[in-house]
Amino acid sequence: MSVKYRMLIILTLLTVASVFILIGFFNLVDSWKIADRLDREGRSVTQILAATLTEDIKTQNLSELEKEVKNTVQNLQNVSHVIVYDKDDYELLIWKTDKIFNLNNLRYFRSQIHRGGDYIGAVKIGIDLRQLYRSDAEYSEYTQSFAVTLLLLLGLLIALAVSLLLISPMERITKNLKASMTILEENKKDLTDFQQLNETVQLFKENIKIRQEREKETEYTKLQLSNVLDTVGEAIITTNKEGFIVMTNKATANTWGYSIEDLLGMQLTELMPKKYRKPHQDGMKRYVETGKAKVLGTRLELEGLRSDGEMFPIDIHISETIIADELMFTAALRDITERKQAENELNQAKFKIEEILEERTKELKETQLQLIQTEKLETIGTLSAGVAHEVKNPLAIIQLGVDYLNKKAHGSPAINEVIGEMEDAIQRADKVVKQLVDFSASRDLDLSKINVSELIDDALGLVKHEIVKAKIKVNSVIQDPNLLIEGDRHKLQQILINIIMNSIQAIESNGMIDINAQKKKMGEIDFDITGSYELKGEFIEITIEDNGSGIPEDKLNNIFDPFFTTKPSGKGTGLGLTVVQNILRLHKAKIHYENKQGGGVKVTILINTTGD
Amino acid sequence: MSLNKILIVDDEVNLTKMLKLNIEENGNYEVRVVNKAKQAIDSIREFMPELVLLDIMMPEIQGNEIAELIVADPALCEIKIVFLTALVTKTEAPDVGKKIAGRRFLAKPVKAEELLACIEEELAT
Repeated sequence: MSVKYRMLIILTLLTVASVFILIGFFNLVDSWKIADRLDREGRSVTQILAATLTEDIKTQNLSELEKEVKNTVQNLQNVSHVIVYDKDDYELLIWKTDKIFNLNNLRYFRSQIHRGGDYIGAVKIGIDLRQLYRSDAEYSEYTQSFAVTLLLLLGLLIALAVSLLLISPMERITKNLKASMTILEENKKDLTDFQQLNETVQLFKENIKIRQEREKETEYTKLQLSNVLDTVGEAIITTNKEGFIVMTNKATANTWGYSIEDLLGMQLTELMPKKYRKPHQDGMKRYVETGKAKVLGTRLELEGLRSDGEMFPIDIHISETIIADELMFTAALRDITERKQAENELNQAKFKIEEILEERTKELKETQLQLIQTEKLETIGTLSAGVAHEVKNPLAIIQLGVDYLNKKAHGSPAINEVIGEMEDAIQRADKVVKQLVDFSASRDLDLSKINVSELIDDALGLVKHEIVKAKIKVNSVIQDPNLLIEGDRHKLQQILINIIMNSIQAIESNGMIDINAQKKKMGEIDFDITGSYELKGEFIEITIEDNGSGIPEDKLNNIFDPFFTTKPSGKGTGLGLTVVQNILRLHKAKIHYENKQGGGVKVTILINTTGD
Repeated sequence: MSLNKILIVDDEVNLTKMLKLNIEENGNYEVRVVNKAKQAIDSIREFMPELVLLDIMMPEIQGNEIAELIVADPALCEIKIVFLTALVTKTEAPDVGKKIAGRRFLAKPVKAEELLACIEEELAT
């Protein structure tokens, strides 16, 4: 090879090396510049923000605060998030850019805000240093290539000097003779140089390979970890001690409605409703400062906040880990909406069952009471039929005897008085016997369709005499003349008469009796009708109201008891309302007595309608 | 003019006595009493009253059975019947009611006035 060729090769190599050196140098300068710029930018933005926000931090005007923060930083490429703290170092505001960034690339700038010498809060800014890192990485590569090239260049320079200073003059002297020898010598030298170069390059290549393999391994481990995490059904979130999410999984993303990229860099507190944020921050702070933890290692039930604002119950278990000398918290969370729902449903079902049970118990008690009452009545019924028959004959004898004596007395006042009293006594005894017979007979109904309006009119007709005598005003205007019920006309008449007679007897002066009838529905009755299962959806309500003396409240529960009466001795048998209730029970009807405010009694009868 | 004859059939001796006293007091009737239901038909055939006052519930034969015999006998079927009874409840009376359709009922204890009014009305028809 001639000197010219060698020169050419050396010059070419020199040029290439210079280019490498220049590129490396500029990159280095550039990365220094970027770092410096970011640093300055970070600090100045933080200070500007701190100054801008002073007033809003002081007043804690969050919306203004947010607006200011947005205005100031949204156009700055590298700002990833801004946190504003109040004087107690609680986060007043967390603002985060939409851009995706990696937490490992974040650098924080914090500027404290003082006002009048008092510490009123701080602003912390995270800046994404990806740019810087990339430059650093490139820089280190460039530096390496720069060094290699520099070495190469040095070797070549020496070679050039030797060739120029020693070999060329010799060449000139022994031009032809030693030409081949020189060439041979040069070739040898070349060979050595290239071998060295080759080794270096080989070493360099191996280094790169090892590094690539390590990176691959790391990548693989990461992938494996994320796969494992994604397979877990639970949401898993790892945060650093500042509370920023540094790692998470699909379950978290799905449950909360964010993407994993969104989640990385978010504050854990953003995933919970406001009311939990402060206690959580307090807890974290306390733990970082004192090492005392209330929640670590335990399972808690609290609430999560989805991206769409929906709150849902979660079950959370937090544990701490130290990763690369840094304190981290890992939370395993579960959406327990379904469990809660099931719990709720179970509770509701339990509540319902209890309700039903209570109702049934009530029904049973009522039925039992009714049974006792019915049994009592049956005994009385059987007894009274026999008694009635046995009493009637002697009564008839006395009656006829008295009648005979009356005729024979021929007007002696003393005898007339005695006879009068005997007559009264017979009437009374007869009345008791009649009611006993009615009572024993009341179990059989002669059913027919009855017009309610007519029924009331007929009953009133039968007691007309008593009403007139007591100077009572009766209002009986039935709006609907076509109300029909099915029942025993005679017996229903009997009960109406019974009730009206009670009213007449209870009235002292200025008597008024109001009788009304109308269709009613279950919900329209304001007294307790539980247990009236035989009443259908729509029925007829007959009310009889008077302005009499009323019934003593403590006696209201006894009025249907056999032989119970509030009337003076000898005036009532105590069987009237027992018969009434008995007859109504046979009609599957319900009767209710109540004292009216302002005096008097209101009797309500509820009886099924036959329809049309 | 002869007095209207009335036969009283009832197992209650004191009651028949009182009935007789009251009816005779009126002065228009000749009254005879039978206290044994079994003898009732024989007495009717013998006495041939215009009206029989008949108790329903009696031992041996019921008043309604006696009434049936009267109605069934062409010689007696013209005789008026008035029932006098303590049985006024439906459970006890329906069959009786059917067989004695159109016959008067008097419930014990009956007043003398009512009794006589009833007898007079029956005999007038």
